[in-house]
Amino acid sequence: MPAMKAFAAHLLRMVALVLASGIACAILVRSAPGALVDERELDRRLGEDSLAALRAQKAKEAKLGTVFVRYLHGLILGDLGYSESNHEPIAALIAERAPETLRELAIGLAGAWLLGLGLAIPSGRWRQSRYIFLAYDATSTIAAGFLLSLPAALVAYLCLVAGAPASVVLMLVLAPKVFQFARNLIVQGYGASHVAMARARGVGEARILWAHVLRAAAPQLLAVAAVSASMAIGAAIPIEAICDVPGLGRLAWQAALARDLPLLVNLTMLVGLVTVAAMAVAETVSKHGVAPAVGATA
Amino acid sequence: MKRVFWLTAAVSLLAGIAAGAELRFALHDDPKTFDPFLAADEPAEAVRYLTEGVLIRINRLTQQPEPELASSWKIENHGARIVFHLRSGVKFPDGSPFTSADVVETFHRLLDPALHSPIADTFKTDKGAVQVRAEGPLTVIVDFPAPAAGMDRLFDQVAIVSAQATQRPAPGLGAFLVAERKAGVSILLKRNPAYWKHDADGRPLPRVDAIHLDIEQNRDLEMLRFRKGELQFIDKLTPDLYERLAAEIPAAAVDAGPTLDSEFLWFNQSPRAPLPDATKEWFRSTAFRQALSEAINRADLCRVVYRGHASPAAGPVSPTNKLWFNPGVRATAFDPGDAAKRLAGAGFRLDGGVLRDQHGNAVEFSLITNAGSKTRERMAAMIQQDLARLGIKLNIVTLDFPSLIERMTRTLNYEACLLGLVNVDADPSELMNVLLSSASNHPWNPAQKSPETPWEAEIDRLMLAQAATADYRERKKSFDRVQEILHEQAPILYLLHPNALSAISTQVAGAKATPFFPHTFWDAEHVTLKSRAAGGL
Amino acid sequence: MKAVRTVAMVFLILIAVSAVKPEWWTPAQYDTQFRDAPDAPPSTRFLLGTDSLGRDRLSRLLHGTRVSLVLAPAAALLSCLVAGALGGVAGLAGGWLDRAILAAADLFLSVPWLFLLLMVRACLPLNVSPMHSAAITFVLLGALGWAAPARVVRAAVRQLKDSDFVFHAQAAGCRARRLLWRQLMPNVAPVLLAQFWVAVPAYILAEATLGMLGLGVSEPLPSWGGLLREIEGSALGSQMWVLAPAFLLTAVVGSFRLILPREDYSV
Repeated sequence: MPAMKAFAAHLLRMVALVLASGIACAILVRSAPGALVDERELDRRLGEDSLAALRAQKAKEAKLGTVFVRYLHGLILGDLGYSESNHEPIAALIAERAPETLRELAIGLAGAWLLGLGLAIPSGRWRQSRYIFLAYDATSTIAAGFLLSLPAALVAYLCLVAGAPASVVLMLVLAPKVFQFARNLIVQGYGASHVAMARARGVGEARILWAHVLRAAAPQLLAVAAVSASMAIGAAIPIEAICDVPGLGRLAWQAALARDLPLLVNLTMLVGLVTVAAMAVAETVSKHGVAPAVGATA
Repeated sequence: MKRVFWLTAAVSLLAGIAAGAELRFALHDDPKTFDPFLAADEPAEAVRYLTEGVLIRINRLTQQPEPELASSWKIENHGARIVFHLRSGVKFPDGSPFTSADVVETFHRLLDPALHSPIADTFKTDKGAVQVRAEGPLTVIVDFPAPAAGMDRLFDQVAIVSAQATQRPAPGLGAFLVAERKAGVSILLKRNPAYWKHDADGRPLPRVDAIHLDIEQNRDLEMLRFRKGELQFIDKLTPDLYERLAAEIPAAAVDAGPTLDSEFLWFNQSPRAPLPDATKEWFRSTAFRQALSEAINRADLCRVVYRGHASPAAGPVSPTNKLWFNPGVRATAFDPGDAAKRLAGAGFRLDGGVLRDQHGNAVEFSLITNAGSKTRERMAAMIQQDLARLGIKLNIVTLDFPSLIERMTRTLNYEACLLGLVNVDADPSELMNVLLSSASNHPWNPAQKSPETPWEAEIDRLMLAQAATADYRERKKSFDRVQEILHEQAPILYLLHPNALSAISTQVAGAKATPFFPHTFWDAEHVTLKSRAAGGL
Repeated sequence: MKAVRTVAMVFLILIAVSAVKPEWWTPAQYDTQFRDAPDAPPSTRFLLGTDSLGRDRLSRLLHGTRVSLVLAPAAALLSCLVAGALGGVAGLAGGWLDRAILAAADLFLSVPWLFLLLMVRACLPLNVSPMHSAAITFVLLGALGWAAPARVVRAAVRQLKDSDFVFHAQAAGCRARRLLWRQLMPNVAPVLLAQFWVAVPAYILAEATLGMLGLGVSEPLPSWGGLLREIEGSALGSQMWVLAPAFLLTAVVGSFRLILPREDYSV
């Protein structure tokens, strides 16, 4: 019962945070210059009546409280609202664009984990052979450091020129971070006394890796996985904007450029939901183990 | 003989289909709408151009109106009436015949006050809107409330819709039909089997089976795909990309000459602007504006920013627009010495490298422009250096379009603005909502209740006069004078007219680039694709 | 590893010194336009060639370096100060204040700031000099980046608060202010310092990404982001020198990462 209560409290906090992110976004968009203008106003063919009508249409968004209450009412009824800049219902827009982003995230995250974990495991495995470990560790750390030292937008552009898809960009952006977190966990895992004992008992390396190292590090790895998912969502916006991927990231970028308030609120809440959920997973796991140190993000 | 002809036609048609002749090029954004009456953005206009039929089409090569769904037309009643004789035997894709009822229904829908179509607004004046009535199944009479100049050209944008269609937007009378749309990815257009046109040899048009429009915002990626042979056209190239393409594949890069577009900057002269009085005083000084016009090196802007693919502008009309260009007005020559003299004459003085007005205020102001345009940012940086020679400090601010529009039209909280104007039509009436002092889009001082300066009053009078007559010579005389006033008073510093830079793949036959939109696919129905074996990019 | 860190440190010092007075090494100011030589390849006159307006690339690169090397640490300092204050208060006070600050931090972390920065940027006044606009960009980054370090500081403070030595100090009658300055601050400082070193390269990279998206520093002042934007549309195959800002940025950020305390990567 206390577990249920804690879960409910967590859920309530998440909902409150997501709603707060939506409200924060709405306030920011509404108070930014250009919130109540329509780009069509510059169409010099438009007469004064049409201009006045366009302005009246946008003026409906002036009262933020009313807009948000109307939005929440619609949300309860399953209606996410209408995107003026795309001339399409928002639910349909998200349904159209989400598969592309989900595919990109799934491939990017899977690739990043395969690469990051794949490169981290030998670091631990060769921990005892000093020179091999040093050579391998230095090489992989330098490679990861190099990738971490490139702005995501530049990686995206270079991949674009090379013809690589956005999921590869995401993989290259996330893999070094996964590597850095995973490397330390795995090196620590291989250094544990029960691993030495297992080796002494003649347990095979594959079993040591699976049953002793990965299983022991599983909670922290799960926390890292949650954090990497939220990082991936954040990285997807500039990557999609630069790589021209017709996903939710590009949609968000265009919505911001067009000051499409309802669409921006929905997308902010969606990103907020994923991030808050990821943080909740990481936090829950951290209570049972050690939390990963999340670096400063901007 | 007749049988042989049909056999040949069938074989050639089948050969085309077997080859899967599909033209592919990119739009730089998703069309905002598929409603042909609301199309205002370039992608939507491109789709409308390819999929809809119009009564009169402006030939992009000759700039002359040509019969399309109207086999002929006649202007009557001193330019206040146009009578259309419609083409017979034309059918909509659903098989229903095209008649005058469709044209009447089209205008009924277009002029619906609730629609607020930009196209409809070109058919409305302060005296009312046009009246459209059918006279028999193949004759339509359109009455304008007053004589309207260049009225036939307006019909190039009016897509004729079916009166009987139950779902909107319905397939139109254009060469292609929208067959499939993947939002944000692509639009597939397929040939309209009911299309009425045939080529000179009697073969049905269009010659290609489909057009695949990819939504591609990134210009580098578009170029990359063009070079790989995946795209056959690039309708608009940046000067940088054009130069790269011209170096790599000279045959594919096309410079079709100056467009009707112009790049310009203006100073905020509105008395309502929340600017210091001193700043307003500078901007309202003709000598100040003229001096700054002289201080800007237009030739350098064309040479450096546009790599030579632009020409210095004298006014709103490009030299390409031979009908309306006033050759007596020349682009202001770069003369910083004369500019300094003008400023000195107006009470400005140079004090330790800083230009000060007669009250001792340092001349410093901001220039806003839209973010994301490399050419405008570069132009702004060059203007900044040119003005620095006079001791003027210019701060460049790039803003996204919504905040730019808000500053320009609502708060008027800006000092100078650098923008461009894309002209679709060559007629001066296009500029009515820009040049009339009462217009909301009058850049330097919008929505004036009555003209605040005598020269603006004269521009108003001349613009209204040219619009009220169908006589070309009278119109030209009025509009020539408008161009002279704009040059003398310099409320807008016209900088340059960019050239139309495009790419046409060597896989394509029958395509010719023009300076007018659409530059490359304006004659898509006559375009053919060479077989891969024949080579080409 | 120590040798590598020393090399990285020396490299950073060299770059910082060369960026202090770029005029000493370059033929012109960063904004001087040699209009007769736009897009010139590297030569003895222009070591890294010129940009599309004929401005010396080396000069722009060194000035851009100075902008990033001065402003990124300043922004990192700002976010660390805010993080130290809020994280410290949350950790010490506990209760509703802790929950409120933690919720605010979570809110800041959950909002996708990248596209909302567009809005924030549009609110800025027009008549600011390029240097001020650059400073504003970094201040914005600093102001938005407090949440993650604040969580770390809060966790550290809570741990310290529950530690034995604090308990003993309290039992010995140590007053709150003394406890804060003499017991807690010296122990939290290394945590904040580590966060500072993490934030510096993060802000350099963030500015670069913003610059590539067209949200960076305004003309004519160069920044790494603005310089990287010039790569777009360039023929990389034949103009490799346009990648110089990318190489320098990678080397500088990589050096910052190398001199980071190693423990900071740990889980």
